[in-house]
Amino acid sequence: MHKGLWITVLIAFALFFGLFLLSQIPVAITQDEVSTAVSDAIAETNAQVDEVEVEQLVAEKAAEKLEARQKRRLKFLVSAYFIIWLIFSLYALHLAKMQNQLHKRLEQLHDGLQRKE
Amino acid sequence: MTRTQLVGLLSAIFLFVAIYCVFSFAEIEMTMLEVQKIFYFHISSAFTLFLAFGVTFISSILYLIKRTDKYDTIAYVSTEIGIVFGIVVFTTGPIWARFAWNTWWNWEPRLTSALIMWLIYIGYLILRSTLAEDKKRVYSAVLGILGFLNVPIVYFSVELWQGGLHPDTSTKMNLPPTMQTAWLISWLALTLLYLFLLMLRYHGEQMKLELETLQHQQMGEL
Amino acid sequence: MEVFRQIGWLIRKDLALQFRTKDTLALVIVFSVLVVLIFCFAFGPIFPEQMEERGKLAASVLWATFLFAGVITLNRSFDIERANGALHGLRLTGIDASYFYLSKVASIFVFLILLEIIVTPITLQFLDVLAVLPVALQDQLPWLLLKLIGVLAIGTLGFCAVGVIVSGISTHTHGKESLLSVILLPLTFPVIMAGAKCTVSLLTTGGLGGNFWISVLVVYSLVFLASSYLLFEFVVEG
Repeated sequence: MHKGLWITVLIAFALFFGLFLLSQIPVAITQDEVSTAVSDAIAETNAQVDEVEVEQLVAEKAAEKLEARQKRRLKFLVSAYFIIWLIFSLYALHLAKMQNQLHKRLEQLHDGLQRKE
Repeated sequence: MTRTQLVGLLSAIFLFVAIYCVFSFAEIEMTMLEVQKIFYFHISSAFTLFLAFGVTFISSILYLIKRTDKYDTIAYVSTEIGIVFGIVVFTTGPIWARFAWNTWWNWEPRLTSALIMWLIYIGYLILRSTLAEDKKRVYSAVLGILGFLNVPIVYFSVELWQGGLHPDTSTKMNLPPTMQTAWLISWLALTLLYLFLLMLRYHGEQMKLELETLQHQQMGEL
Repeated sequence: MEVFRQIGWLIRKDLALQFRTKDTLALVIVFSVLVVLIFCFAFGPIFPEQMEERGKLAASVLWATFLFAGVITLNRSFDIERANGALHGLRLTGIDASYFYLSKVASIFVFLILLEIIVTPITLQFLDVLAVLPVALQDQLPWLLLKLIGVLAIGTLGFCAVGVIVSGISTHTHGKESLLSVILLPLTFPVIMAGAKCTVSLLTTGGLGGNFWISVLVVYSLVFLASSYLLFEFVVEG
């Protein structure tokens, strides 16, 4: 029963977390963010040649930068939640193991007592 | 379905909902962005840590008054679970700190006082495991009370020792509604999880006692 | 007045035990000086020039030394009580447990204060604190030393208040008395923090730097003296 519970929770966690990551990674960088980053970059470069191609390149660079930053943030988030769940599941496993052993020994003792009677 | 299983199921459901709320429902905070989502379980674990040690304190007092083994078992078990929640707090804390303040550890009052308290209760468990069987319960109760009395003094002294970096409690109350809901639900979920673990461990300790009495019986018969 | 007479006798008994053999006193003094020496070797031979840094160094050395020495003293003192069931014998005389607690705190307090009076000047000299003290403070050196001992005394009282009850518990650990420090040190963190802060400001400015830390020290000592006094009954019962 308890083990089943834990597996359910773990699966649920993996499911939601996976969904979150999948939904966040490509979409989280909004068009607004990209355009502000682009305009920032353009302002920085002071480039006079305003060809479409250059703008494209700058946009790609900016998106890359944003993605790298997001990757770093997600690394923190993933490691934190990984650790939380690792601790809880290790403790739960430890408990389950202990409980099972106790159960076994109790049953053995009960059996022994009954046989004597 | 026993009570323990019911609480376990409830905590599983709430953990489920909490994870949904944290990752899909709560809006993304503007300065920390995704990393802010560590906050929900970090703070809730810290609250549960204090709850667990508070339970130890109260049941230690009750044990000294009523001398029922039940209270001693609750105090012991609650301490152990509190320490597990403490591990969660002290591993997620540095990850947060590394991102937000660019350092793994800082001597911030709440963090420091939680650490000192955690150390006190680890000492409690270590000492308890070595105490003679007949003295164990009374002595651990005394230590449980002394340890908790220290909390306010530790907190106030650490606060003046070093100005705080953690946001005030008042700002926490000003969270956007979605974040607030997510936080409350994860807090509830972890409290239920604490309750579930407490019941499970309590049950285990009672089995241990039963086992010991049975063994004594058998020894007597031999 | 029966109370004071009983407590007085208990204190006399403890102090007589400590001073007649002198082995504990010698052990603790030598140990403290050795700890101070280790710090000197680690930081020396040229110590930080700024008064502030030097004061911090001296304060940390003093507090670390006295904490270690305090743990040893507590262990030794309760060793004596446990040997040959001395504690049980004492209980049979019908003396109240709380008197026993108070007398134990008092005797260990006296012992540690004596140690501090001996070791503090040695430490200050080894670390050459006098050389960086401002002239105004150098003129009133005895007064400064007195204040320093006063701060150390309040801290020691808080330490003893918790230490006696915790070592009363840890004597029942079957040869694992060294575990005392595992719980005693975290329990006394506020005292260490406040005491060290007071000592630093005494050694750098000659004042206490506001009332905050000294009041933490006093409040802690009183709260733990009172609560341990109430709880000690449970420790010696049975």
